[in-house]
Amino acid sequence: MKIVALGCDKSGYPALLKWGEKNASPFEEVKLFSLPCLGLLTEEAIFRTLENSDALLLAGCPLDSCHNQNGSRGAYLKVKKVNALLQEAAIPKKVAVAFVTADKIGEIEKVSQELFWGEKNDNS
Amino acid sequence: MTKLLWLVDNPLLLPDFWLEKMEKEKGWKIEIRDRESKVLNFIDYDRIFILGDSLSFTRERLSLLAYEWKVNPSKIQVFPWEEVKIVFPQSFFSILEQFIAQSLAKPLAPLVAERVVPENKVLVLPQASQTLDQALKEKGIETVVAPSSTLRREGINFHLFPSGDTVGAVVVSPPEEITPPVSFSSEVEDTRKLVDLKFMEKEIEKKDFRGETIIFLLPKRGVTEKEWLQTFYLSRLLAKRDRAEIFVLVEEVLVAGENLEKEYRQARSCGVIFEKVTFSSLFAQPTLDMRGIEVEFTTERDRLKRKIKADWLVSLPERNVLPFDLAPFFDSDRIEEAILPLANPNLSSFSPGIEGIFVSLPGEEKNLVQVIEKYLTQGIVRERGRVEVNEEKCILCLTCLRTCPWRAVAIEKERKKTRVNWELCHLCGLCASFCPAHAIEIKGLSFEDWLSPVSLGGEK
Ligand code: SF4
Ligand code: SF4
Repeated sequence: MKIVALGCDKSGYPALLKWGEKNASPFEEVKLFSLPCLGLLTEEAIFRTLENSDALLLAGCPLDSCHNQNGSRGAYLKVKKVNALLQEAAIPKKVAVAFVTADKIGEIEKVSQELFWGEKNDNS
Repeated sequence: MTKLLWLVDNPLLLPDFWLEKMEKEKGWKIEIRDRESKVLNFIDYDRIFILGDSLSFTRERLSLLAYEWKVNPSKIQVFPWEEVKIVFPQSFFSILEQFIAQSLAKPLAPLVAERVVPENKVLVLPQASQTLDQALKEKGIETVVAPSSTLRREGINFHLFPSGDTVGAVVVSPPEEITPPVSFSSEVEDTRKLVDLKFMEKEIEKKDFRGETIIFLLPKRGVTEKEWLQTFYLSRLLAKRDRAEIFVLVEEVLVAGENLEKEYRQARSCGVIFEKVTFSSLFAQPTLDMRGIEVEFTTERDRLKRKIKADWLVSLPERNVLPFDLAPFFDSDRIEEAILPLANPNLSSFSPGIEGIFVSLPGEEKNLVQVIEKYLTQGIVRERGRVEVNEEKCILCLTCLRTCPWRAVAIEKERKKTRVNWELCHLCGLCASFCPAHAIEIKGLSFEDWLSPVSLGGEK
């Protein structure tokens, strides 16, 4: 499974790098990108990123301590919408978002495992 | 010849043979400098690239650098070293080449990084407490008294009507509600053994508390740093000097701060017992002889019920700051909610998330004024021209107005157009990503810009 991981430059990206260093990724390939804030993602951007990958992992600040107040919330709304559309169209791709701080990567590990194992793991 | 500057951590990453090759093949004159070295004139270069730990180069930092170097912010590009270092050296140079080519292919947006410094005056709403007034005076910050003004945002400043004054900051001093941390019965009060911190401060000089039991009650909300310090100090003195038995019952201990932590440790080492207690489970009644107060509580640590006969119960009031409604003061539909400081550790303290508006909390006036002084004198660096609304595409749905967390979007009432106030914009991109008409462009920060510079391995 090849994924793209995007993180905001305040929290998500540093956390993704830490996660990378730990070698805990279950994926075959992870392409990493940073962006100023998850808030600037559009649905269109998410779909286009998915064209070249099996899944998309977003990492941003925790909802209540986003550097741009509502950036993470905005991304969360869009992820929900995109996942609903993907499911409706029966496209087996998924977007997940992890809310992290720069030095706490537990959430990325959890979300990436869920992304990797899919729904099966959700029920077990 | 295109002049490029690379600021690097490690000059060995870009060897001479590669530089020569680039000059011959591409016509790029590349200069390499250590990231820490002084470059005299940044304006001479067509692009400035930064290579090396890109982590520390957040958007804000780049704006600041552009300002210091006096260059167009879109000239500065951070090469995402972390994203490509695994391919070093195989495809590294081809990615680097591609990165430079892509960056040069994009026309530079006409951006300017500017320092925005607010007017050195504040308005206090509804009115300054004595401590706040004093603190502002000490720092030489002029205060405007105009309790019935209407405010209108003008860039970073606020314009006041009808006085015509301009202020750089508004300090809201919200009303507070003072209640005892536990509701004590009148019998408890009749013992005259329920006292406040001031009483203890006075009595400690005259009276010997030898062998007595004293309980301090400190609620979670509204205890100032000074009161914490005073409690640590008094309890230590009573324990050491008078060998009194001291209990400090708290809902949460505040030891954030060097001094506090030190005082707290010292108090503990003198035998003061700190106990975390849920105040709702605390019960107090007079002792049978009415000479003391019997306090019953459950400790949070081991859930044990304890009963202590105290000779004195020192109780600090709980201060609750009530929300303050700003709407009546603003000539705008953007300030609609009642404000309180956001509990967001990433925003500056005392900030309700609106640039230039600060909330004054009791006991924190000095710290607040320090924050304000810094804001008013140093201002902020912002980028002019980065976010633009395409008036032709805009359908005036006002989504941007509602989504902007920094309230940077305004409507020009006369022209009925939306406009982004660059002085307030933090470049988060939320407005652009939610605009249904794709009318907002954040130059250099669009999808193509952040994804394509180096997609690993070159494929897209
Ligand atoms: S969201 Fe877009 S279309 Fe709606 S008012 Fe703002 S700029 Fe105009
Ligand atoms: S980029 Fe962010 S801060 Fe700037 S106007 Fe848009 S939503 Fe507001």
